[in-house]
Amino acid sequence: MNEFKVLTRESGNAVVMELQGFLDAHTAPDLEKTFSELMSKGKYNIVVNFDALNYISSAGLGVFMAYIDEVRNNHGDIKLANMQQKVFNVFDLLGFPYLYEIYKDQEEALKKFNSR
Amino acid sequence: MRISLRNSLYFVAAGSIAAALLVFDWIRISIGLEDPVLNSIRSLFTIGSFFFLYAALRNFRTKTSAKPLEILRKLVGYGFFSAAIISAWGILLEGKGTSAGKFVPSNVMQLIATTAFAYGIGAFVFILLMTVSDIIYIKPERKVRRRFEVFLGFTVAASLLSVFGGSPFLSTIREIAFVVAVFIAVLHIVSMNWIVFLTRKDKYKSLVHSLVLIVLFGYSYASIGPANLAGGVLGFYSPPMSEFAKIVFLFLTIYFSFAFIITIFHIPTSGVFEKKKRELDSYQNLSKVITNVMDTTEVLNNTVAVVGAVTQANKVWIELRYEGDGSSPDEYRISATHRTSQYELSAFDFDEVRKEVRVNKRVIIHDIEEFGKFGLKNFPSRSLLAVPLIAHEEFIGMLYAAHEMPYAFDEEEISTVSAFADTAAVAIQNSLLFSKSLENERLQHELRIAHEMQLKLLPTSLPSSDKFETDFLSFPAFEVGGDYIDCSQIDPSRYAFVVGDVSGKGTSAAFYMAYMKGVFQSLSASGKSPSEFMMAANEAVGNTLQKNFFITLIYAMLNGETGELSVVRAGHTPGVLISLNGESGEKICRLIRPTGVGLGLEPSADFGRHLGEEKYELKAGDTIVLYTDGITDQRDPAGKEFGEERFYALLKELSAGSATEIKGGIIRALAEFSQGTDAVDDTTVLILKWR
Repeated sequence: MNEFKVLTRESGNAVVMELQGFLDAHTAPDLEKTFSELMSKGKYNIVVNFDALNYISSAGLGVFMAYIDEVRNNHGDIKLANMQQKVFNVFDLLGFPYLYEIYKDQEEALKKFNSR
Repeated sequence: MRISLRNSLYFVAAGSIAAALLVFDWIRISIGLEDPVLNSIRSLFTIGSFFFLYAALRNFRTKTSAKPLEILRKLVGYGFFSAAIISAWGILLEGKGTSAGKFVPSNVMQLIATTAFAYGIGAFVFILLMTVSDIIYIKPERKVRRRFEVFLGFTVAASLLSVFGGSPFLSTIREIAFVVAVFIAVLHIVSMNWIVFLTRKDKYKSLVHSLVLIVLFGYSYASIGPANLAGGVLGFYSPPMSEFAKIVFLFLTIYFSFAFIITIFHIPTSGVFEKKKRELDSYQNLSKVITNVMDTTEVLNNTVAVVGAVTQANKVWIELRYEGDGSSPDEYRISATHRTSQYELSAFDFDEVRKEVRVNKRVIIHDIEEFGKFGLKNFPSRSLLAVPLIAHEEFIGMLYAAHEMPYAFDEEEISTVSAFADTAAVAIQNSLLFSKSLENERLQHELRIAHEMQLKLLPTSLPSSDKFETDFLSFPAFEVGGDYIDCSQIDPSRYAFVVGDVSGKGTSAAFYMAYMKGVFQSLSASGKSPSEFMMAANEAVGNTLQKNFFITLIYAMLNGETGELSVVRAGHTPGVLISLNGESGEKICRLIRPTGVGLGLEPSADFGRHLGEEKYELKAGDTIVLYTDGITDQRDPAGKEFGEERFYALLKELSAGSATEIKGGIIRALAEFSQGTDAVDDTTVLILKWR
């Protein structure tokens, strides 16, 4: 039931990461693995598409916190896009809009990277 | 030997008859009386006398042990004495008192010597017979016992018939009885069970003893024949005893001749018996191991030692399987070794052997060239046997035995090792399960302690006054949790209330929760403003937390005199203010949601910029509720969330009541909604009611 999936694909100079399902303490390690793979390949321009993500817990939020410093130190960024309202509420409550760029649509986020 | 009153009486009886016979014999010799009828009557008296002697000696059969060699040693002793007596009397009476081919004492001294000899030999014959019966009765079958009794019956019959020495007809019957007795004596060879069970060393000893016994008894038998002097002396005194002794010595000679031969035949097989015995002992050892299942290491070490002892393999070891998860393969670790070492074995890869064992249940490598097939070139043994350890149909590891000789493992040995492996597997499995459950129990205990410790970190009650009242509830979803609730009185009029949630659940969250308490208690006491408090808390937390952890907090400072309330929020679930609309009397529910980022998420400068503070003037009947999202995340059996809307509606409905009544209403509503569905997150609610 609580399945989680990450798909990555390249788009221009960025990588789009699509999340599906439930992101909680059990599935967070999968996301961590994907992030550390991208780090090791030197991919620091990341757009996370939340379109198919139905639930996120505090452990799931922690994953983004864990990598943001490394990404930004390498002149990259993690941009968040296509959140369902419920998921956005969770980010919003925590004050993530102050910390991350959150877009309605992933194309906007990609444009940001490409325009640099 | 026990000398009882009864035994003494038997001795006295035997002695009295002997004395009477001595007197009678003296008279008989003196007057040269030779009457067959009188002789027969006299013989009957000697039988009576010997019977009493036998009865007195019957307790001589001590039966202290059933060890064949001990009995053999005794027999050698008695046999030696009887042979010595025979030869001594042979020398003593040589050339004396003979008349017409028969021995007849010619004076009183010779008569006394004759009498003494008869009773001496008689006694030893009885003792020998009783002692040899001990060895015959080792591992007795009823058949053996009866056969020996029949032999004795015919022996006694032959002896009794010798009383009537003159009659040719009775002589013939006596000779038939004699032949039958000897025939039955020969039959005893089929039941020499005691030889079979001797160890190889004991068999050699038994051979020597038997040889000595053959010589002693053979000599005794030959010497008391009618043609010899000793036979003549005994024949004069008591023909029945003479007959009896003759048969017994013949029996003993035959018996030990056969014992000698049978022992020789059994020497080659004694190795098999010794091995079987060792196996039996080892099985017993192993069952001891199984009852002693506490310690896995002990079970493993005992198993390899037992297999090493039984098979004489020069190397034995066990490896246990550690199941890999999806990504990593199963791992095998050498867990016990006998006459080898992990170090020595680590040079070899037994993967091929394992594969084969899982298919065919065993691997037997007979000689050096076959090792290559299993990728074990240069293995320092020439034979290898590997069998699986299977417990409750689960493959838990392997048992290996290696030998320096080729073809060291025959079918029998393989089945023995397999049997050991099966038994040991169950023991190993049991001990593993036992230690696992022990470990679980220990962890449970630790968690209970942690739970109790954390309960002590929660406030027992929150402050109230005539202006306001408070109540709260807090349950962790597991033994320990990451929710935090606390209060501190800053000065006589001001109170700080806090509700927090550490990201993640369980033990790690509980540690941060405890840390948070320390931060709150030390910072709130300093009388800082809510914003100053939150920034200092972010500083304290940011330096401590792991990157992917954070804490959300809602902090409310209440002036207990004026009802002034200042609230700051660091990423936490918004609080709720329920108040009455003065004009319509309608209940209004407002969210207390000043801006602010979770603690530990950003550095202080940015954190301060994003932090907002909201102020409220509380009016009579206003209710403030601060909580963690565990309550709104609670699900019903169908998986539906309790949700914020339902929670707000509930609070409106309950807000007319006291803080404690509101708390009770929340607990009831939650219980009704969840219908026993476990909470997935910690649940904490703080209720503050302005009077």
